[in-house]
Amino acid sequence: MAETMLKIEDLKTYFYGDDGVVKAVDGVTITINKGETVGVVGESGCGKSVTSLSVMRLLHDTPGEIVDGSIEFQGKNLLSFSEKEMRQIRGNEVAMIFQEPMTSLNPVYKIGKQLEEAIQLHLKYDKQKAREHAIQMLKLVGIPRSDEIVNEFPYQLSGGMRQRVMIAMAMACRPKLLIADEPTTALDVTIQAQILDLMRTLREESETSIMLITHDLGVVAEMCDRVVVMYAGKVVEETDVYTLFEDPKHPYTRGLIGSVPKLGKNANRLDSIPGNVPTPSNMPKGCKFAPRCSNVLKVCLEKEPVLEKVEANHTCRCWLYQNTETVGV
Amino acid sequence: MQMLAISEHGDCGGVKMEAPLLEVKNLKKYFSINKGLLGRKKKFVKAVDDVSFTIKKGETLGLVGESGCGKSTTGRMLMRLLDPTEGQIYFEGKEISNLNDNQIRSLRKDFQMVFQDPYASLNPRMKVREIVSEPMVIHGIPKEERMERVEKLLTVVGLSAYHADRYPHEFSGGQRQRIGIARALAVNPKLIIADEPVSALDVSIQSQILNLLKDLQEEFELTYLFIAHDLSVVEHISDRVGVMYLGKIVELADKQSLYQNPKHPYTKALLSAVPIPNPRLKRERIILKGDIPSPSNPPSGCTFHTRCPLATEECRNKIPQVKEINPGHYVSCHLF
Amino acid sequence: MANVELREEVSTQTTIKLDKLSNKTPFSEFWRKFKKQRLALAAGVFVILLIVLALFGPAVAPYSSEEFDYEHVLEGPSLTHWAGTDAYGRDIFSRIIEGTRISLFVGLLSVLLGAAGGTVLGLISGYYGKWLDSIIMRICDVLFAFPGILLAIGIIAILGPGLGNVVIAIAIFSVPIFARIVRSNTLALKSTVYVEATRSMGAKDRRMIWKHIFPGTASSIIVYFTMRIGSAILTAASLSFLGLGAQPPTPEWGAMLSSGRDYLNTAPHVTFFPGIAIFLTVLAFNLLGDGLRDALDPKIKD
Repeated sequence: MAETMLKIEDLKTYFYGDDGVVKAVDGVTITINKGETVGVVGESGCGKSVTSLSVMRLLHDTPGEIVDGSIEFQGKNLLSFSEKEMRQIRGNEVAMIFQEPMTSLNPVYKIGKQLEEAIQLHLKYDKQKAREHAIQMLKLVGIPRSDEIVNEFPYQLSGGMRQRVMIAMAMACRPKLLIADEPTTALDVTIQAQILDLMRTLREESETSIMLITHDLGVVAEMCDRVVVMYAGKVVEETDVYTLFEDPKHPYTRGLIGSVPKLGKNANRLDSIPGNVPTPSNMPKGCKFAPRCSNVLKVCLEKEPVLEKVEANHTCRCWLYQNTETVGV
Repeated sequence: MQMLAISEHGDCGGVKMEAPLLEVKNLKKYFSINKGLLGRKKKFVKAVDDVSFTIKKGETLGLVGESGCGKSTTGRMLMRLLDPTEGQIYFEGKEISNLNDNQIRSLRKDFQMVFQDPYASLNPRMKVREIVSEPMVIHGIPKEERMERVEKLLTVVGLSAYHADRYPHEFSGGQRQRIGIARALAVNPKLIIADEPVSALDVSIQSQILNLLKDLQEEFELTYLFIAHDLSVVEHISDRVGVMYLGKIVELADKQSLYQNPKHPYTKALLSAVPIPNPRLKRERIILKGDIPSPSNPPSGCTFHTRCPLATEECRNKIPQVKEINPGHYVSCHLF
Repeated sequence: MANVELREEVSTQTTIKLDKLSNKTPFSEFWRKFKKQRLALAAGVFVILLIVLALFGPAVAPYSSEEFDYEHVLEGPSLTHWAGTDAYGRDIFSRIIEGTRISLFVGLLSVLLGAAGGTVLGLISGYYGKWLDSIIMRICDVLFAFPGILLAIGIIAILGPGLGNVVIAIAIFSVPIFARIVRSNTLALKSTVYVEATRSMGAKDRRMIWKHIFPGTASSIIVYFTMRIGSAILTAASLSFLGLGAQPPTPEWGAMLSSGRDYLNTAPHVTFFPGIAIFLTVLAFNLLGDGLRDALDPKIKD
């Protein structure tokens, strides 16, 4: 059994707004092993980004709050950490890459300074060594003229370059866990291919665990070992990447895979999931997916199913696969 | 050009000699930047640089490319939201690129546009009824007819008549895009220019809209220019596809040839870069080096030579001409 | 078969949910945000009270504003004269009530004229741009360069004193303020996709300006309109105080202040009460304007 890196258990993150409580993440359990890449897939509002922010404990700028559950990183419960202890973890042992690289880099500091600061803070290098390390990291992520780039400001770089700087920054302190929230969504396809390639290389070299949050099933298929599918704040299916694409169980996962136009396949029509993603004020009773599901049963409208093992290494939250014993309860 | 006969309904069988619905010839759009106080030393961004293509009635032409390749600018020039710097646009055989604002206004009935961002393209202060009926008001359709048609249009795009009295903010992204499509259909256009109509939507909603666009095309004999960056989406919806890079069309062919048998090194790289949702598929990947150059300072010769794995000396110096290497398959590359 | 029925059931469920949402009109949305602000709400109530007083003032006032009473000259506040009497024995409270009509009328009319002119100029300037924009904005810059009151004095120096000319003077120096706000709003709205969408349908400029751009600027116009009324009232009072506006015996607040200044040491109430009236009115309009901004500003929205 591989060493567990991150264990999120029954995490509940709620947002308190004008219109009442929004259960953005409602009982999510995700485990990531050492060297493993776990994809978290879902559409907007499914709670995938809030999950990642909860792990980093970066919710204080939002009306969100972790109400319940535990987040264990290498056996230590992150939720019991003070803000100061968290700062030690962030960027050091756990690093994060955001979707929009421009907003995550400070526009008034030079690239090199931002990188060095993180390195000095976490690796306790002196200035000289930090600079060398920074340049080396930039070279590693494929930035040409990296010894010149350190003296430039973020706005002088293109989107792809900035995302690389972000990755260099995230990888600079050799994190054990990398959380990547839609790291390539804002990028062009050819640049996306470069970045994904880079992430693969880095993963092989340093055995970093990656939590890859994305809506793109293509990226999932290329990068991940295991996949967690989320819908309306809950995990609806979890399995390894091969099983997910070859034998998806949950009607939502199936619908999602069917909705994506596939290169080279000439289907005249796409399968599509009817209806819309439920909004917090419009959350259905029972199974959250029931109003859009093509296999809806009577029970789906009344009671929410639990996440259950359907096969070894494959869990699914759906009444179609629930054991009769559980249904009877 | 003017001699090309205009056949109103060319589906009379027999030999297909239809005039294209839309023809674009050597279209260019240069934006001047860096004007300077003295008005000297003008620099240009060559957003669209010598683009030509045709769209036949009832077909869908896809335009793909990465950011800054000029695909949206091309769409906006066809809508005459931007004036072309050079080049001609012919609609049903008639040149429209030289018409003035007043003349173009009545022509806009035949052209409608579907925009990328369904949140920004609908006026938040107007009810759905007003939004959908606006093109009809502009083109002078009487009130009773408008009211009736709004409700019909809403049902056509998969909404209900009672949605007409709501405001856009009450709808989800996918529903808003349906409203946008209903608005585009309101005056029975011949050509719809769809600029990234699904890229702001969730995957499961994306497929609904793509299916809807296909159904509408069949039902109303629409012609589409479909602009997008997502190659799989474009493949799904289009009959023919043009690939753009730095303001130029580098390859244009029918869908099968382009996707099964791409010729231009850029098309090949682009196709190999698309992640495919099949974990077993291990492909040979062409990973392009570097970034897309800035259109304000495009490379000499073939603009792709800085990233092309097969670039030669010739590519650096000479701009390649568009060649028809197979019937209907156009490539702009020195290798052919 | 059963599945089909279920689907229907599910779809009716969601339809009902949607209906619940539908009573969210822009106005109810505004009201929801506005009523949360207690201070602005109180200011709004006060403004409504002022308007009522302005409409029915003479009918409610205990005395006539022109009734001389030499028996009770410069008397302090008492039960019979709540705010005391002035040098001619006139009831100050009644005069203030009657003055409400004048102050409010001057404030409202001058800002209305200024806002109308400024909005049109701002729309033209922002929408058409180029040389029209440059000319209009440079004129506004020139007007901005003068302190408001000085400009008003200058205008009155040309037109001659009197309330009517005060209205014109204030209207003129309100124009550039509205022109700037509306222009910047217009520039932002002009580049929105929905305005472009309307243009792509073949709409004429007039339609785009009045149907799409003007309604978008309305909320900031309302906010500034409210706030400007406060300062217009203040300016009108100042001009009257200087003897350039309303002339005695008109019960204008500024003129009342002016006539009471000789008795500042012996009978401070003669200046105090009109002063308080000006102060509260201006404050109320400003607070109301602030509250409206918080409730209407799209940037604060969500």
